[in-house]
Amino acid sequence: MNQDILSKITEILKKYSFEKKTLANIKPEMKLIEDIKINSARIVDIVLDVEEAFDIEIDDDSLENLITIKNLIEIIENKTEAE
Amino acid sequence: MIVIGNDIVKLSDAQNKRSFTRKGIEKFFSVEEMDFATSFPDSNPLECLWAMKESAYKCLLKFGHNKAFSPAKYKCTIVQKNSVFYAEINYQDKRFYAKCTEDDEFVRCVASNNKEILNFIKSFHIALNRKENRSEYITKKVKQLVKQDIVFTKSENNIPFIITKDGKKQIEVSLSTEGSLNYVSILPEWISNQHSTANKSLFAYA
Repeated sequence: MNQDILSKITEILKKYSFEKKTLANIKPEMKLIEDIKINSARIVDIVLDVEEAFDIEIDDDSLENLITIKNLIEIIENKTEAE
Repeated sequence: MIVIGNDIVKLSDAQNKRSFTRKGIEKFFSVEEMDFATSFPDSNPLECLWAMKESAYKCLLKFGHNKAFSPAKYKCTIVQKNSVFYAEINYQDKRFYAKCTEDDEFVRCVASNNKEILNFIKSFHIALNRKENRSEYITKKVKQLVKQDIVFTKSENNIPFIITKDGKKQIEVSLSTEGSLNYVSILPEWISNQHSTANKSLFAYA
């Protein structure tokens, strides 16, 4: 797992999560909505923050596959490799 | 099978205000939806469209959809009648209908795959900091509404459902959380997905 990506993601999620303690022990299989307690409207912020932080664009199909932290890392890896 | 979904957006929430006015927000909406939004500058059309899309997504989950919420994939055709927004929402070959109201505090939305039942959906709020726990409070409140003993629970994939204690009737329910607030919508007297029976029951509430 790319620790650099994970660390940047964690910083972004900290701004929006209701479960900040959970983020101290973040795991790839954790679900954004259920485990990290992200309000669905914060998807706006997470997507836009991630796009800005990694200089990528997350398309609608990728967003539909974004359930876990691992999914988010994979999306970022695929997009950064492609660009 | 008739399903319902709901969503609530707190308008006074500072983070919500930031989210829906961010540069880049347009990526979650179609050109038509953004055009609609600009024609209602005194209202909260993006929050309303968001709530409609999310409500339709919750309906879709009940049909076994197992993907995450990708708002731009839910295409809303929206109209306003007497301060209420109504929309037809299309996701691939599925169609849903939504009704959205707003006041100074909240945008509230309910959606269903059946247009006729939107006005029969009953909704209420609960705050999480109550002494009673959430499930107990919802159970108590729904019991009062449907005048039957019920069990409120969640399925394996985290979808809430209500069933009467005798196990004979299922009551459609949707749950939305906004900070400490829970917004609960139910379709009273909905009997185990039988359309004809449902229509009879619904007329009893008309």
